[in-house]
Amino acid sequence: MPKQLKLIPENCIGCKSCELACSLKNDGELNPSLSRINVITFKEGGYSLPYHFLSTCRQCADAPCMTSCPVDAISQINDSTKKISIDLEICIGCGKCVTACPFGVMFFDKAGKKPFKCELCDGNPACVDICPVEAIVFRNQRYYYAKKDDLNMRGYKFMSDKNRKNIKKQTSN
Amino acid sequence: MSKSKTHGGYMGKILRVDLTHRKISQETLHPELCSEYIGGSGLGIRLFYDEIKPRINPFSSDNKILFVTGPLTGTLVPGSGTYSVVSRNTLTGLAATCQSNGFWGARLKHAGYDAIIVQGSSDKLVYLNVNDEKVTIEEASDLAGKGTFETERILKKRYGEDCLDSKISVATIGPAGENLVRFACILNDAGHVAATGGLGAILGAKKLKAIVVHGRQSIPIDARTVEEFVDLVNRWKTEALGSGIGKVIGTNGSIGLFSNYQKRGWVPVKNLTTNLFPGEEKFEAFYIRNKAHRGIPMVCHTCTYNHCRAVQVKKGPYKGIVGEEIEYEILAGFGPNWGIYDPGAVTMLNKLNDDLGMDAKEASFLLSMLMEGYAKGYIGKEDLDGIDLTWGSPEAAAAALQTVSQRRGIGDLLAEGVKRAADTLGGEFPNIAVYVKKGNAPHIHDPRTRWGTLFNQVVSDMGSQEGLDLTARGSAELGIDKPTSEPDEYLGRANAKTEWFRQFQECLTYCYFQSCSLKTMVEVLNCLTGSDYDVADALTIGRRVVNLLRMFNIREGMTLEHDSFSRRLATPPVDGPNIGKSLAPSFEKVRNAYYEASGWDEEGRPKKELLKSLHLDFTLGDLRE
Repeated sequence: MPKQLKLIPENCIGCKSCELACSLKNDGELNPSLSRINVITFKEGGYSLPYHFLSTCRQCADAPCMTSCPVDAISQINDSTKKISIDLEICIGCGKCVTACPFGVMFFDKAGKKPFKCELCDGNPACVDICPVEAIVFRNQRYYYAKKDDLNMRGYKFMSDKNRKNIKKQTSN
Repeated sequence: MSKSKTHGGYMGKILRVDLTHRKISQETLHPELCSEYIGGSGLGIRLFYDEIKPRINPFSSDNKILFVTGPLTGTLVPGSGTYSVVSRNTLTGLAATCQSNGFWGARLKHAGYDAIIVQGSSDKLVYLNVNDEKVTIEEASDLAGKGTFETERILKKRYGEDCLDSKISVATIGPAGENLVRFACILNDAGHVAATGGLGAILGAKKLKAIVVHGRQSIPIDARTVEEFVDLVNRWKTEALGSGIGKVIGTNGSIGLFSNYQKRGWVPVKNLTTNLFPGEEKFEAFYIRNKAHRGIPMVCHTCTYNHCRAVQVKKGPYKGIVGEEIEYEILAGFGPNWGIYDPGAVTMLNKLNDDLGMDAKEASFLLSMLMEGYAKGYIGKEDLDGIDLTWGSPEAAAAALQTVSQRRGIGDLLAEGVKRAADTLGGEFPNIAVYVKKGNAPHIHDPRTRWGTLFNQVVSDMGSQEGLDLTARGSAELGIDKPTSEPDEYLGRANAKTEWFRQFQECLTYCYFQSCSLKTMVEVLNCLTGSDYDVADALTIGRRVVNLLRMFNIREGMTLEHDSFSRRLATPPVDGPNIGKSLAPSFEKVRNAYYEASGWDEEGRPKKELLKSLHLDFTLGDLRE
């Protein structure tokens, strides 16, 4: 079984430390808008109390980003994590993967005109280290295949809408 | 003495918003100012000192209001979503600096700014949208009269976050701010409050309803120090969780303080007329968290504590209400101080007061004064617009809060705060009013025998607690081994030092509950900003801020008489564990010892040599002989 991130939103307290730790480790900057992981706190709707939602790449075994890439820049890496990785040298920056991702966890870098996503910090995820409540854990688990119901979750919809809107702006420039 | 070498942690820019001329500009934040004042309240009062003409009405268009972050804001430092608000206290006319947590401060920096200076005033209600380089003043007539929660919801939705929180924060005033209630506050991130000094009314006078902040900027950090920074922050977190305050608040929130404070006689009951009340078991944190409410954690930026929560009331007449978990002071202030013994009722009142946008301190002692007056027949139902303001009536308290926030009927007088209302009502009211500094209510304790808490606010120059309370505890950082257990000269001397420490903390701008050792704070600051401060420098910076605040107030006409407390605060408890004790008999001695330890003369004025040594030469002209 691949070693990947397991998100446990019931444990999340909404501190958003993971967003900063992510951008700090991957970009050397303190900037949640560069984070590959996002905490969304739903304030109203459905339940009487607010709740937190965690969103990052699930490293889908049948990743839509991978299959949508016209130049095969995205592939599954054959290591212990079986992570989905972008080869930026092959990538042409078309943004199709951003539109394809139903979870909204494929992002687009404005300046470099390339997509980016969680690649598990080379096997040592910063978000796991920083999380004060074990809402994000790194462990062996079954390959992830997206289920239809997952795609209806508000958090994923929010993220993918936002990313798709963003990519339209980027690629039409 | 420039010890600040680089600029890590700072965005380097100040946003200036002129509401009169609808002009928005950017200015450079000067590194020398950062070196001497770090950020937050210290940097804020330094900028404000130069920005402002002395002795003007807080509500005048010439007054300004500053929102200031610090270098640690928005970093991994625990509880670092904080920002300071600096202006004039609308109750006293003196300086007001206060802080609010949540995420707003961090998001202001991600929009690219360390601070916002708001000046002038608009002729119609507007809000400010700060989104990276795009900063606009927008029409807000649709938000007029709306509560803080609804205002935040509407604005967040407008910018893409519909009933959710991801990257956008809103700071807003409620109807109280719009109606110039002198203790209106500013709320951000649904329930975090810049409470002190009536700063919400200053926004109200400027007709600025809210400030939305969002952006995609990075906070600078030197790549070579990232690992060290993360290690140091982890040390900070460990120390904070292990501290006395961390053990209580990190586990049970600030309501965890209640039982201990009750045993010590520090919980305010019925406007300080007694220290006994029934049903204290309903105020224990365990009961509130597990029996009276259910809830989930909703913490601030990078917080590691089990503190802030969203809760739903599980039992009693207010069953079903969803709100923020009450803080200790509100639990005490809207509970026993009003003769209310149901935490569910307090949750309802807290939500209402937050929505109206009022400071709980002033609200608590204002209504407790009226309730006492009502019970004793100093004021009747007809004088209170028909509100049956008996002890222990949540409905009457709610009606009174509404009336005040609207300045309706008697509310117009009550909106002036405890002291002004007491003076105008006359009779016995000035004798039962609880206030310090000739005009603002203290934090919600029975401070009469909590020596540090009381004395500290009596001599405070920023509108609330300026230093630390060392009653029953020492301070390792300050070399204070012996707690200040008596109202004696030792209390005065210790208080001077605690102010230097606390005001340094206020410059860093993080949640005060997340405090680590001073040494660790300084190391984190050095690592992030590339500076080489030591612990002594930190206390010097704090002392500089304390003296600058005092000089600001002296320039405003503050005299020895302001360092005082109301008659009710001078009376000893009539029952409970501290019966008969009071600061009043020894007050002058304590105050003199405090002035001396501060390096001030017998009138409480800083000495010239001290001001020079603190690089406060620019204030010398304001010293009255």
